[in-house]
Amino acid sequence: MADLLHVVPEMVLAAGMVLVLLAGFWKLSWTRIWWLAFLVLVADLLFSADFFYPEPQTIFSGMLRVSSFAAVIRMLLIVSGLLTMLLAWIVPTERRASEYYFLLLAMVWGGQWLTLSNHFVSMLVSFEILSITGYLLVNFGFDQRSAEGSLKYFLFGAAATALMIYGASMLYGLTGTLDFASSRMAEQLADADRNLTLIAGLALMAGFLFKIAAAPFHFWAPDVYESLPWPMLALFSTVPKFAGLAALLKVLLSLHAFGLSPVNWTIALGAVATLTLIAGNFAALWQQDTRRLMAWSSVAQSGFMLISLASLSATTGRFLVFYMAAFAAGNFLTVHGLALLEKRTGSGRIDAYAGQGMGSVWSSVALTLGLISLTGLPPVVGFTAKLFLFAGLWEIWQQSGAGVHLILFVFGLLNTVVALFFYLKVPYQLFLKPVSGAIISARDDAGSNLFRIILVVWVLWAFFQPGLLMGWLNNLNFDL
Amino acid sequence: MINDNHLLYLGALLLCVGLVIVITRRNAIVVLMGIELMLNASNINLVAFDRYFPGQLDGQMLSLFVIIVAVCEAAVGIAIVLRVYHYYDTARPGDLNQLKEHADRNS
Repeated sequence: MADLLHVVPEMVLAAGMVLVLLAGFWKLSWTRIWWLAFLVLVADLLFSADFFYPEPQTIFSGMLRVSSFAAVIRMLLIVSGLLTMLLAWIVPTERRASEYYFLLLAMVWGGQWLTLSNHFVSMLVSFEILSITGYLLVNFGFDQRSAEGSLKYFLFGAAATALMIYGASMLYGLTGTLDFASSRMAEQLADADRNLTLIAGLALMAGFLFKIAAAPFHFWAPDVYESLPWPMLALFSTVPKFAGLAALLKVLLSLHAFGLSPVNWTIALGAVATLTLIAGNFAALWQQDTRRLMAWSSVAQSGFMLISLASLSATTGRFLVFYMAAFAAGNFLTVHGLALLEKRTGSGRIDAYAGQGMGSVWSSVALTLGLISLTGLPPVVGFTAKLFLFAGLWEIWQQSGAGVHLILFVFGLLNTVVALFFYLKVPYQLFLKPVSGAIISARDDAGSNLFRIILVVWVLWAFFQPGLLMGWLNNLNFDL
Repeated sequence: MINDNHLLYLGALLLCVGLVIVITRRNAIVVLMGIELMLNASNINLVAFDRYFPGQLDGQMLSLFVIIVAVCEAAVGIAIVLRVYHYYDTARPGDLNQLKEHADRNS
């Protein structure tokens, strides 16, 4: 029972989810249910604030492993959930609000379990919480497009999950254990057959690559993102991605078996990262629809995070976390700006925004800052995150001398240049193109302004004072 | 004679059949059946590996969870297919055409 004390945040969230679901019995307005769900997430955040362990420990007889890494990811997941809820003020989903917010909380909940999981059973169950809530949440547009999006998401996801489970079963056969952090797994993998290990590992990765929208399992992303309302789009590009990457890092570190594995997983991951970057960045260049642009941008950003993962050392975990924090800020700022822009002009196409930047100057400036952060240019945190990521990669290349790190380094930098062209297309239309009709101006409500100010301050502050966050991350023990 | 390896071959065969169904068939319900085959392939694997590790129940445990997960996924999947059928009068993902790359690609 003492183990329960380690998962207090999850239990608080679970109790809150039940409350939100029960609230549906009374005919409450969606704003009340929103406040309830919001307070539940705030409570979850407060309770998660002191779970940074000096030493990782295994709880529930090997099912879960609590560590500082999991605690940081958990906070990122909760903050993403909170920001999604704030976005829901702009584009509210009023029908079936209690179920909607229940599923939103359940998605964050599943992500929290997934980052804690240490055993294929707990991993499978938490992965499915994340997946099934995802399949259902896509439906909440209640129209043709959302039904189509959810069918595509579901079929793709179910097939990828089935492959993942097959990979897990093969690994069980190879090692005789399902606990992927155990020493038995590492010892057995050291003498395992190379081809079987490779097939098992690749099949296992399929599920995670689907979850984080990485190649070759990214085809669902543009269609599904196009069918999503903006808050859900922001949620889908953050929560499953962070949880999936954290779990993928854990699984791959155990497959890597401290370098004893017969397969060179750095090369496999490097290939996946390269493919993802090419697919995401080059497809994004042609997009005119803002949602599809964000989808491909999310694919490309997964590529950058996979580059960081490919070095397969727990120490790059902190660069990955920093990158996630920067990506979340840039992503939410951009989604917020695009949602307001779509509401103001009534169009989701980039060329419809020509010259509209002056209609709501601060909103457009904040959107531009968000896009610059996603691109990775100064003076915003996206630049710092990419700097840390590539500096870490360079260090690893100098230590190991393996060519794959250098290739990833050069390739990542080249792709940053490509990203410049599609991200800055939006500010170009907003500010530099002549306006075609009348400028539609709008005043934003106080909530929008507050949301924007918080995120803008964060992206600027983290650029000028990166030492504060990075210093805090450096003080944590990132052993998994 | 049937030995342990034959069970693993059966699992691999089921996985391949399931994957081929998922890739080639057009109807969402049939694709769902293919996915069930893939999940059962891993169940056969997990139970067959029990012969290698006698006295250890991890494999059976995971296969129980896989069965539960398959049920949940099938329930959600069929609900989604019903919704799609309600809107489009078809359950073929290929016939759904609201979400796609837009034709004009000028930038």
